[in-house]
Amino acid sequence: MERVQLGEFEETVLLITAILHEEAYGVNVMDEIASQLGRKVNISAVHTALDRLEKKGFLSSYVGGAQAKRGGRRKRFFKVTNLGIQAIEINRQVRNNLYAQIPAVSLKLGQ
Amino acid sequence: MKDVKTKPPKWPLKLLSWFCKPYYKETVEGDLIEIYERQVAAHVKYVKLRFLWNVIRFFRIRYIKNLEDIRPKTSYGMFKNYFKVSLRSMRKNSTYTLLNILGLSIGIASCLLLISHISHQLSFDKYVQDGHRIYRLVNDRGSTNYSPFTPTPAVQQMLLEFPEIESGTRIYGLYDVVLKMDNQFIKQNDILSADSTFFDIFPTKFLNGKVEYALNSPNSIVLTQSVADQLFEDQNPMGKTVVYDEDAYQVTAVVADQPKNSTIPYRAIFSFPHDKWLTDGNWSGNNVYSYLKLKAGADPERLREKFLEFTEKHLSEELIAFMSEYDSWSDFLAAGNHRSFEIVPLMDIHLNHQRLTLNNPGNRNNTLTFSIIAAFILLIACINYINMSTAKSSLRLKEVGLRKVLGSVRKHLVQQFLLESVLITLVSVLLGVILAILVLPYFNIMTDADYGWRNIINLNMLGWVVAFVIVVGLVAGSYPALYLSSFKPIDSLRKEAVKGRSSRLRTVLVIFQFTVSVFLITATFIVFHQVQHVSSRDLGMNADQIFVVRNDDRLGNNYQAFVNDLMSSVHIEQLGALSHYPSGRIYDWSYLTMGENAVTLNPDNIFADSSALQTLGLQLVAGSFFQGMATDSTAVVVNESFARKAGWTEPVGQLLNRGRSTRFRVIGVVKDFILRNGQYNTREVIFRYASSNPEYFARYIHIRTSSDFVEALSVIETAWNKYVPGYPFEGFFLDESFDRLYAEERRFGHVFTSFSGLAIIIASIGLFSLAAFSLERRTKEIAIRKVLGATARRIMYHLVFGFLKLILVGAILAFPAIYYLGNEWLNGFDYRIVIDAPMIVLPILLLGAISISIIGLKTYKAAMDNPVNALKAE
Repeated sequence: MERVQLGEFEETVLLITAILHEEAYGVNVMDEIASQLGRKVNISAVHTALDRLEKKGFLSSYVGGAQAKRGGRRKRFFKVTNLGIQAIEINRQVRNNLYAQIPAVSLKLGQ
Repeated sequence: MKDVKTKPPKWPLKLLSWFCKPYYKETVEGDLIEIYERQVAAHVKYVKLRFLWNVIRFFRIRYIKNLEDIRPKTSYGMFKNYFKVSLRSMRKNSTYTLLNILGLSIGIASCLLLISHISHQLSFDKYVQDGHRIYRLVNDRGSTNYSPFTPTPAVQQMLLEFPEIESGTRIYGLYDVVLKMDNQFIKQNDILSADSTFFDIFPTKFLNGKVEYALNSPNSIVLTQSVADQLFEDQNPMGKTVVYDEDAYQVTAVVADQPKNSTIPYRAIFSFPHDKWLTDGNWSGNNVYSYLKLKAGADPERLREKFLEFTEKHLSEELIAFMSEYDSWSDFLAAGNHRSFEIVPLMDIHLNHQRLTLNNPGNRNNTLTFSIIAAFILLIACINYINMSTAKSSLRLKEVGLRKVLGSVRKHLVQQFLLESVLITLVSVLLGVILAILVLPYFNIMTDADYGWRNIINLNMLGWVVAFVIVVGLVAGSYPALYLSSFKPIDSLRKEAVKGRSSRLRTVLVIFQFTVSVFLITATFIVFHQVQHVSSRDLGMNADQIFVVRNDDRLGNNYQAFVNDLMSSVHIEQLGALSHYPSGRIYDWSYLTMGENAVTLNPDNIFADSSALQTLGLQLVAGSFFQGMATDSTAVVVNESFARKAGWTEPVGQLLNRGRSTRFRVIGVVKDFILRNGQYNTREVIFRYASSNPEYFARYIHIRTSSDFVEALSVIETAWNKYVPGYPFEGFFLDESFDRLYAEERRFGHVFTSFSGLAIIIASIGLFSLAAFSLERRTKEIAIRKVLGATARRIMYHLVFGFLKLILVGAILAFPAIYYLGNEWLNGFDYRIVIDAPMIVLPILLLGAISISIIGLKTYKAAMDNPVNALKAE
């Protein structure tokens, strides 16, 4: 099976971007991570992860229209590419595959 | 009101726009402001600080501007592209690139080694403080082959009379001593005797003791660190005594070891005994080496002008008294004699005055030769590069055309190709440095030196390396750069490349390479032959199996008993005592012929006993040798050169004098024999009789042993230990001592041969890649020739002949240079070979053979190949 080079945080950001679908940009992704995972991250970390994912080809970006808020600055929206979708799929399968192989005994807690 | 509050602070944003890449700036700003606004609305504390913190968090490599962003209007981006394209084209022609880099790095490694050798040679005495003001005082007898010794009082008197002189010192040495410590004898070499002013002129680092007290009392000794460590190990040597010749000397100071590049590489200094002769002394004896330090700004020429007058004032009287032929100083001068003083700059001694240095003498010509070889090697490597890149240019033409179409101007293309060649040079230089360090041990064996990696990697060398990268990179790169960038885009984009101009230059350069190669091979032949010739020279005596015992003055009254002991052994054939040994240092004494037109001669003066002639195997051509009779004390034996210089047709019976009283009668003439290295003219030699006083005049017992010299040695040693118990027995074989005389020539021969060999190898690499490449381009031509009926042999002949023509042209060009320079070099030898036809023709044949085998190897494959393969490949 193919291997996908993704860090743990990168994978999180990739999944969040996919969830936000067409609406994902820096602050948005940061908020979503906070609300979904209860994890507070700095905006710069989110940007870095997004840009890195774009470089790897899992995301693509485009700049949106100007707004009155944000001091008139535009947003950079991110979208998951086909490669990104594949990566998500592969990662998921790998995990499911591994999970399926765990003997039932091991999963019983506290015995 | 609210609006003002939600406006984020300005200066963090300024900070952001200062460092952040423009591409990311706007969206990052937007996100930061959005967060800020939200936090302001939620009344979070310290919003401004948080805002700043968030900005700072973006200070990551990814977001920081690089060169391109800071100066978007420079061609930095273009350089990046050039770099990339260069690497690609190198990878595409990896074989040629490798050969190119290999050639260049071998060339640079050789250059680095030679430069480190040359700069060591040039560095002698350069470290001496105010060295340019220090001069060696020598006697001027009208020749520039100055003898090292000067009259004892000269320095003192000059200091009194000449205001130009700041200080002066006298030294004597270097000699070997046997020191006695706790009844143990320890041999020490390179010992100096010096005046107390020695350290004024040659300051050094004092590790123990003070300059003021180091040499100014009799029986003092100053040790260098290594000698002190050897003699006293962990103890403090200060104030301890060492015994030399029954006298006790006190250690007054310990100084740092002297650097290798010194012409006075002493290991210990004795203070000069404060004897009367050394402070007053006479003017006619030459006993010490003198150094003068001039005052800053003093003109040495002004000082030189005063020397003749000075000589007349102080020296003339004693000189005339010594020579009965002249009544007055003006008579002496009128007869064409010259006598004055001369000062030789300290910096000139190592390379220019072999007799004046106390270290191994350098040789200006050899050093120059090495520099020339280094330059040749570099030149050949550069030519390889130029040839290969112009040859390959047709492959790059499309690239050039396309760049031009897309707007490159010529300047950019030149930049591109120069960058490429500087890049290749840089890689080669790095490899070259590594290579040089790897072969350094072998180079050390060859030059008999001990260079370390510090001789290769140091600031001085860094300068050279940078110079190499720039000069080689630009020189080798400039032609291809100018040539390639000159094409019109339409020409370069068309299918067939423009030909002609470049190949003509390539031919010229190849011819030049052949010229240099022929020159170097022939020169190697000549050097090799000459070195062989000189070291196998007939010495005019039989030096085999002669063992020389040093320090026979130690025997004292036991001398005769010692001799008797030896002669009773079957392993000792003959034995003779001499004051000096051939191949060693021999002092010249002045003698005058008698009668009209008296001639002054300065022959090497040797005292010998009656059996010296037979022991050394010298050949008597007239008269007789000393017979051990009473009349022998005024008898002398001269060699043929002496008789010739004196202008005698009938030497036996002629008279000589060294002053008014004594007359010496010539009783015999011996055939010329070799006393020194063959590079010098055969010297005049005079033998005086070492009469009843062998312990004074004869210091070396020459012993001819039987073929079983191991047995003989043990006999000699046993006898020595019997009569001089405890004192080390020292000696050497005469033929080995002669061998050492030629060490310098042999060293030169080795270095020369190896490096010209390297130059030829580099040239061969270039030739190989050029031949390979041009054949690759001509595979179709060869195939068509074959199809049309040419035989493989015919094709090979056709291809090889092209190169042979070039070799011949190169040989013809090299011939005059090699003939002229070869003879010039050989003229420095008294005993030399003649450059004859085989010596010129053989190298050419050799080079022809090398080239044919290189080209033939490549051609054979091309010629034997099935033409279909070449023609179908499209």
